[in-house]
Amino acid sequence: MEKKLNHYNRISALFFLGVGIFFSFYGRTVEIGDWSEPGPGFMPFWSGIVLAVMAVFLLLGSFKRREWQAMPPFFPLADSWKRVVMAFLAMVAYLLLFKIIGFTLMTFVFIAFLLKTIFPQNWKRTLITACATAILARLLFINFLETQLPLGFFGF
Amino acid sequence: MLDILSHLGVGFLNCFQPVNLIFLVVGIVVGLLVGVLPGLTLVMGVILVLPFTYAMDVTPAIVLLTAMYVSGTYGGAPTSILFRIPGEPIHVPLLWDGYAMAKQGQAAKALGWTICAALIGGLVSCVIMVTLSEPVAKFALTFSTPEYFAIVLFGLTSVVSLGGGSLTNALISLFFGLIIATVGVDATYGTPRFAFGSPILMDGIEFLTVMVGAYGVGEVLTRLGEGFTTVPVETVGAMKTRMPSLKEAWGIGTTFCRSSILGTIIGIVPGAGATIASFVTYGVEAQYGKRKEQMGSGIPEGIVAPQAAATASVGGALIPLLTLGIPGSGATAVILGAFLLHGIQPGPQIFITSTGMVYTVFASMFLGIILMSIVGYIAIKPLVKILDFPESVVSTFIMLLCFIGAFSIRNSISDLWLMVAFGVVGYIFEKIKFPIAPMVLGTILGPLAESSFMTTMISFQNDWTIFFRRPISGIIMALTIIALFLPLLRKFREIRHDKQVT
Repeated sequence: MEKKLNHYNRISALFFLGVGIFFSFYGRTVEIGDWSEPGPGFMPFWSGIVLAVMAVFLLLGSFKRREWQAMPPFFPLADSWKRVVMAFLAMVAYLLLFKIIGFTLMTFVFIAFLLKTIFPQNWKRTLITACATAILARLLFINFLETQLPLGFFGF
Repeated sequence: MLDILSHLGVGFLNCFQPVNLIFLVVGIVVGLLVGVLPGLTLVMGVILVLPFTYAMDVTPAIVLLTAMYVSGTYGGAPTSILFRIPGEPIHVPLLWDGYAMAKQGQAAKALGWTICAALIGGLVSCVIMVTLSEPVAKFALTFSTPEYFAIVLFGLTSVVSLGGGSLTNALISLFFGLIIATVGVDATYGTPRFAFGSPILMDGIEFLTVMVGAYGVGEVLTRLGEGFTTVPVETVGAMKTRMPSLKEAWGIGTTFCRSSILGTIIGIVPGAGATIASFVTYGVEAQYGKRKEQMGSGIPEGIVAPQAAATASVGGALIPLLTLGIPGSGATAVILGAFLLHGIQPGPQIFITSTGMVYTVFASMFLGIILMSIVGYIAIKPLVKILDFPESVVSTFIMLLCFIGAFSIRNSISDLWLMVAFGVVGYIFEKIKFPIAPMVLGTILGPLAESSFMTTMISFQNDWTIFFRRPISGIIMALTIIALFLPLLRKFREIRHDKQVT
């Protein structure tokens, strides 16, 4: 569904207003000081205040503007949201299992999942690419560049 | 001057050491590929190569990244001219005259003008960079914290005012970045802020994590949501490059000079990178050029101006990075990250402590630009063929490299969670038309701004007027105020103009 810029601006203004208020209030728990003697909470406090003020400007502007600019939909295709959410969940799963299963095996599963379900490829290409990527990444980053990537309980 | 030349001579010799030369060539080729692929931006490309540099010495690492940065400003030009596919936003102005020339059957000539512009623009900016850097660094040695604070503040302001879009959105993005930068233990008093007891938040949020997430993961999610809608590449039969004659190039010498110098100056301004340089110089050419009425119809000036400026901006952007430790663009922010990861803090001292390394990087820029032009000339066909590679597969590799890159910064899984979170932020920002660059610059310059402000207040008996009373910081503060009010003035003029019209 087509949305207007003002619609997005209103939501984001409310979000940033919340962030600004939260940070400026939380900033008060550390010493703020004043302009002549700033404390550790000075910068977060004032950044939060300015953020909140700008968010209010954005909110007011979203009501005032006469010519509302049409925006492309947040998810442009019918299955866009599914792809984005699945990619996000794949990343979350990768992070949850990365340390336990190990970099090489988890990379194989992650790449294979992305190639088969989100960036659709045939099985042959999926398995060859996932396998080659996992092995090459392991050799390059763990063996050659000695990056401290987790090896998991399988040891690879 | 003789000192500079002798250091540069040593730099050239260092460049020919096998390891430096190999990484120079690799950087040039990878930069060209990054420029060609539409799903991969220049900044993202430099970020993705960063994990490969962790195990290297600092000199080849910086040579690799700067070579990528230089050639990335040219890489997308052939596809813009031949297929109307700009690999980078930098090359959008090339669509207007470059593609028009190609349609008139002069594709080879258009490609030749592009290489010529990148070569001359790049070399001019290198000469300016080498000439100015050491004097600027010597001058910067006299700077104290008020001057540093003023420069950082100017950088933060210029990214907002040069952004082009909504000033409110840019300021929100900037202050969001500044808030992110305050997470962790405060550098002056050692007080934990917004850490909520988490050890990783106590160490603060690394700006590289924010960059990898917002630029890397965010961009992949955006392209994924759009379904990778790259235009299919047509086959171009005679894909050749024909260089302009010396007489032809001399004929538009003013355009070459103006764009190269302007590109370098724009590169120096923090926050204004190759894209702004390319658009601004095209606009200047359309306003003041000899054949301004014919711009857009397929004339060489319309190709030379944006391309020369884009490549020239690289030399410009390296000046504040090396002399003051302040990155002028997204790519130089990553290069700053590479320096820091190798335990080197760029700034005026670097010209005393690491002269050899600095001049090797300078020399590699000269060689890189020449090499880029040669590769661009002879390898046009294989370069363009890269577009046939499925973007979806490239995206999976990008995601994997993002994970490895973010993990390798501190060997921490928590950084990966933060990266994914900033990937989502980057995706949402892209969708709601909030600029990402101010947020990223806020996370980079925020700690610098805070520490220089705090140190100044402590050193100068909490007298904030010191920022305005010292001559250099006073001038920079005045420029900052002008930069901040310039967009408001522009808007006010637009409103007045609209009222007069109606």
